[in-house]
Amino acid sequence: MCARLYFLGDGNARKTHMSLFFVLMRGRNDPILSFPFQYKVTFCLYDQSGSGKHIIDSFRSDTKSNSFQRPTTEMNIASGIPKFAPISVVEQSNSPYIRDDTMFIKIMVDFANISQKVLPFAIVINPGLPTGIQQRLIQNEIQKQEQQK
Amino acid sequence: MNRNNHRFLTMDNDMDTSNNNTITKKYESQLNEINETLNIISRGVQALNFDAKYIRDEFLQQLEQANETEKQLNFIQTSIEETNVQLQAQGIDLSILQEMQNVLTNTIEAHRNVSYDGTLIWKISNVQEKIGIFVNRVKKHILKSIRM
Repeated sequence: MCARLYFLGDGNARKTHMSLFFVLMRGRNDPILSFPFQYKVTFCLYDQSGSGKHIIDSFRSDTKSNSFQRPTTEMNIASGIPKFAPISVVEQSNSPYIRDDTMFIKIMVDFANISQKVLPFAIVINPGLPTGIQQRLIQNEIQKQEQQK
Repeated sequence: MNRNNHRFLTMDNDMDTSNNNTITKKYESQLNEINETLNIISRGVQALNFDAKYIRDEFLQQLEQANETEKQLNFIQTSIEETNVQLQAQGIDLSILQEMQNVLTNTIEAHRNVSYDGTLIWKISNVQEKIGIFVNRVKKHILKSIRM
């Protein structure tokens, strides 16, 4: 898998939005993987100012699309979110999404089918924690929200 | 009467002899001057001959030096051409090395952003530069990998 970012947009979003796409790539383990790819993919552009206004968006793979079948070439056709974020949010001076000329984007493939309500928690969970701990925290959050129902 | 005539004749002869002596002296003097002048001219010609010989020798020497200089210039020109060819080759080598460096940088950058659990934090540095590059190239995308 790989992610593809168009800073200045692609297609209909050209010059208005940053476009963020997901691409399946041919890999050596393809024979034992299951296809089509059927997971939700979530993108998050981190707000580095501390105010927590991360830009989060996700899409679910269309299992009928060629983009998510087993790759027959080096790369499948990209699929994703053409209007991920307005260009203005990164072009403005002192943008909270760019600090020290650096931006962070999280790409998460949701293997556990995390609900939409838990997703904001899951996406901004401390990335410094080990993966197992992160998953446990997410499970705790899911249970907590179920109890609140 | 005859006696008188004879006296006159004698007087005339004396006068002629005197004139002849004067003329002879004058010619002798002029002859000496001419000889003197001829001697001067002869010495001048001799000096000119020496000068001509000196100039000829000098000319031959200069001609030889010019030939030698021409050979050296040809050698220098060949060297310059060879140096230019070498510089062009080095320029091409430098471009290839630069390209290889870019490929390596991109490869290292890509490997920095590899994840094996389906979640990737993609750190994009030098954003302004990259946006500028993409604007210039009208190729507005970058690629990163998340490997499972």
